Amino acid sequence: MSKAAKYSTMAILLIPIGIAINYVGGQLALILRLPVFIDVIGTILVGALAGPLFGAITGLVTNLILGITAPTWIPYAIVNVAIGIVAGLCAQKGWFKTFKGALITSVLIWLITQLTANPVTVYLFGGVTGSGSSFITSFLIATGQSLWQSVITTALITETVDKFISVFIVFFIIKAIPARTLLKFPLAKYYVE
Amino acid sequence: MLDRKKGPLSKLYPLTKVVFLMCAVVLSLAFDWKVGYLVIVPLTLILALFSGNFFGFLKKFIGALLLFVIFVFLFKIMLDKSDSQILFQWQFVIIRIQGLIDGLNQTSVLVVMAAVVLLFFETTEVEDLMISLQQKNVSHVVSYIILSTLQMIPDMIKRSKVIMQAQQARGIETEGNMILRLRAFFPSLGPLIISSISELEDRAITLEVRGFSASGKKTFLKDIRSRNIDRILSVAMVLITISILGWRIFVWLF
Repeated sequence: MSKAAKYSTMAILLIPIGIAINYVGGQLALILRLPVFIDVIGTILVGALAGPLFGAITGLVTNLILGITAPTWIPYAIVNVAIGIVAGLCAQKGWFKTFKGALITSVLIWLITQLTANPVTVYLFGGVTGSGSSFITSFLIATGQSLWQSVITTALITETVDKFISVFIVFFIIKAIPARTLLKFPLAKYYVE
Repeated sequence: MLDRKKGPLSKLYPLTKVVFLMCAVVLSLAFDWKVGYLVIVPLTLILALFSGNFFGFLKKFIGALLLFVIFVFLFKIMLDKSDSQILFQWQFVIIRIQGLIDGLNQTSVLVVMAAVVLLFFETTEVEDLMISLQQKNVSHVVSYIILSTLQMIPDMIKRSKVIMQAQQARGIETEGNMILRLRAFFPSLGPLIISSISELEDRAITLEVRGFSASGKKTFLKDIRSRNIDRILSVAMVLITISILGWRIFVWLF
């Protein structure tokens, strides 16, 4: 088996794990009654270990599978795909290795989330996100703000902490993965000398 | 899941139903709420009657959409500044007809999408969908990713519970104030992720031994076939959709 084939098999196998992590992370946040979603850790992790393409696939399939029981998740696939791509590109710059790099990555992932999620929420869903945060949006609309203002404010309140925590969880997890396992993934050279 | 009552819809080839799903979504995108709410959703409900589990479907359908639809109408009514006919007025709450129409237009595409997607998975095994895609030359890697994810999610939920109990046993608090609960998050999720990743190489070797990356033609354990009725239905649905769209564009242009 060639080295490239082995890499890609490992990267392909990483995708289902990433999707399951997305799901379990979100469930765990629910069980622990945390006010954040933490449902993109898997996407970021796959992006960081295997690159933008695999991160994007993880994001896409996550939302498609969630869509089997809750179809309103499907349009948000674009957000999850964008997060996977950004995480992969940042990893290719070696930013997941340092604290400062992880900070820049969180800002970029936060930015891309705002840029992709808010248009979907406004144009397709008329401002509703289907989670408890719609209560915040409806309160803001009731105080006389426009739909865009209300949706963006809500997203700033609910998403900001969420994305920073998610990136830093991935940052610490990569530090905790033993080097011999890390070496088997396509982007290993950015983490192990 | 195999002992589910099989209605006529379940016997159709999965891709025939995919064609229906796409036609329904395209049509609801091309027209306003009347087509979605008065034609496609009732049609889907009638089809669901033949699916063998109508009330199960209805429960999922309402469960997926209720909160969303209520909020959209709430927003549209609050944002409605038109001077159309007032339907209902109570103190400062004013419901105008324009707000309701806006709400219907905003929700129709998503209601249609939810209805057809839920009906699709109500009557189709994901496994069958993947086999039919592979028969149309979609890579087996796609099937692997989807099917293995569906297996892995319940498995990892089970394991995360075990890990959480183990962490509680060694004194990590999962109840209490928010900082405490946030601090419990990492020890619960971390070991789960790291152990799953460490197992990956065994999985990779197992798959490679069974020829996962081999370039030869793959065979199937389960065989499903498209029948004549599938071909007729698919072609008919595509033709109907194209002619309706053509008519729509014609009316719009002239």
